[in-house]
Amino acid sequence: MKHLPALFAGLATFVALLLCVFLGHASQMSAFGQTERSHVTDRLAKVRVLLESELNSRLSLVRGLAAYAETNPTFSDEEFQHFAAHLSEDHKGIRSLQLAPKAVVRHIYPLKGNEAAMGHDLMADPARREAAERAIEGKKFIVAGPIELRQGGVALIGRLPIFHTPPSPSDTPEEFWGFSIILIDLDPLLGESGFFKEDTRLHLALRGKDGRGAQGEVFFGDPAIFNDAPVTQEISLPNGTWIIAGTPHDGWAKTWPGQIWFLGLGVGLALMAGGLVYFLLRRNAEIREESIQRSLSAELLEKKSQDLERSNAAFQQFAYVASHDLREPLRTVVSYLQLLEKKYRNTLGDEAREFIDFAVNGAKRMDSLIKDLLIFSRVETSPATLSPVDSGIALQEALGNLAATLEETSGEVTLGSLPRVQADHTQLVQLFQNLVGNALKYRRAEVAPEITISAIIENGWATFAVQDNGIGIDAEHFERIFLVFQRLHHRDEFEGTGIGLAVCRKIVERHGGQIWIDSTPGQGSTFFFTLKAAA
Amino acid sequence: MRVIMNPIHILLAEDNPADARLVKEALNDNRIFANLHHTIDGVETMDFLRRQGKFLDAPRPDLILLDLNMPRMDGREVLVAIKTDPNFAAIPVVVLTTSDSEADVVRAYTAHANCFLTKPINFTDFTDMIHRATDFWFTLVRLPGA
Repeated sequence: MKHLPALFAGLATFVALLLCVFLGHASQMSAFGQTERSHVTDRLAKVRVLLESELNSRLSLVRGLAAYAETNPTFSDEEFQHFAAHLSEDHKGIRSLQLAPKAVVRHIYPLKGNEAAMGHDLMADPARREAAERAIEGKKFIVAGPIELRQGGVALIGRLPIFHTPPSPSDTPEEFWGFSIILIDLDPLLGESGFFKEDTRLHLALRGKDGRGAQGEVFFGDPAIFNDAPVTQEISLPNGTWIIAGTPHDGWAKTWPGQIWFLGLGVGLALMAGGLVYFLLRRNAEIREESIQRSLSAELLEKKSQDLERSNAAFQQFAYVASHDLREPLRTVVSYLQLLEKKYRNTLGDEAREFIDFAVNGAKRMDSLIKDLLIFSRVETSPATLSPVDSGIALQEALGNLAATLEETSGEVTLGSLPRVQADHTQLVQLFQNLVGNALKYRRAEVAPEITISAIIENGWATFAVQDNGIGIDAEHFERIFLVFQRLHHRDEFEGTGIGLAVCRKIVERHGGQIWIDSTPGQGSTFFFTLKAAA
Repeated sequence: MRVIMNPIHILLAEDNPADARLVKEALNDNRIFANLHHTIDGVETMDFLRRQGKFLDAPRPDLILLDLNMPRMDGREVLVAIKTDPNFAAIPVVVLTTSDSEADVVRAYTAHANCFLTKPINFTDFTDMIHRATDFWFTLVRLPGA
């Protein structure tokens, strides 16, 4: 395929632009992703801060309760109930506040609904013992869970070990009194932190059960969120961290606003540019090819014209050789034979003179043949330069050249009105001269030649008719008479070399016309030929 | 008829001895008495005119019969040399050639040939032509210095 380079260039343009479009798209996407992520981060931070604050405000109740137990070692359960109620009244989602002297739960507020916890010995419970021991040993506030409660529901459990500091001496170790315990219902806590509000527009998840951070179990939300490239933040607990993870509530954007337009227009533009490049290059290649073709054909034309010039020059050379060099020896032969005859007329016998005649006639005939051949060749090689020519004038010129023969044969020529034609004047004269000359030559014995020349114009072509009352020609010879050196008669009947009609045909054909004959033997012939009429 | 007192000198420049002989035969037939001098090419012709080489005693010709196609220096060059040389330009030059080429005719007259004759094929025509030409130039025409 000859337009392959253009096709490649077009495709390359298309692909390159497509790449740009996708790079642009990727960069837009990443920018949009960052913006979205920072929005998520902002919203997540609000939730986190709220959660931390809600959580801390609840956990601080434990400290208040611990302080109460520390300062009132001899409180009654009734006093405890009263204090705990007072302590927790401003907070939602406090499942229970408890005091567990010696790690055994003895005081529960509210008791109702939490009866199952009463008397729960943490040190004796395998599920709690370790955490309790760690808390005591490290004197740390331990937040465990969230866990399923025995009494039902899910809650965080904060346990603060309480130590009694003896008044003195100061070197005696602090004495473990028990635990101050809070059970915080998870859902109300999260609710207060805004987890369930639509306007966060986030999918949220929490992990880090028992404060174990990123290693901890997911205890809220869909664990899959942690695998969906979430924004994560840490929530500090007294004894560790939780991780809060957020993703947009409708998932991370797969597209950015205007993406469809950008991609659509981009791909469209790439297509158009690729196509444009293809068509431009293709057109360019075609133009270049055309111009190469043109210059090739111009070169060819130039070469042809040079060839023609050369062949014309060669013909001129040949023509000169024929008209001069070839005929000079013939003339010498004829002249000297005649000189011989003249000088030795008396010594030569009749037979010798007859032989000399044959030799002279042969040489003369050869001279005529050379001359006619030359005329024929000249018609063939000289370019027919066509211009508007008055055929009547050309005919008059031909008749002038034939004046002697016309007079000798008492020939009568009748002329119709003759048109202007596109012709080479000299060749047109030659054409008329040969045709009229033939009409005079091939006349019937004892019948004066009558020649009528007329023409009609049809479809831009002039058809000439040269009609005579001569001997006529058999139809079987109609073709042959136009061939070079073809004769129908013996030399003693009619002179000639048989070149006249061949020259006529050559002339007419070089003018783009046709020549033919209609004839009745014994009555006459009409030669027709066509030439392009001049405007 | 005028009586020619001075001998007439005709210079024939002709490379073909057969043609030269024909001219001589034709002139012998004529009543005009003329000395025919013959050179066989252009170089000899110019030597003859300038009286150079073997032509130290050559007479100045009254008429030149000039063949066109000759070796070494052809008739066309001779014609130009004669007609552009003030010493010889006045001598009538008759181009006598086998050629009937229109180009030769035009070229000869352009170079100031005085007439152009094509040699006919018949001997009688040839002698007739030579007679008429010499009659014309020596009896009819007035020539310089005559």
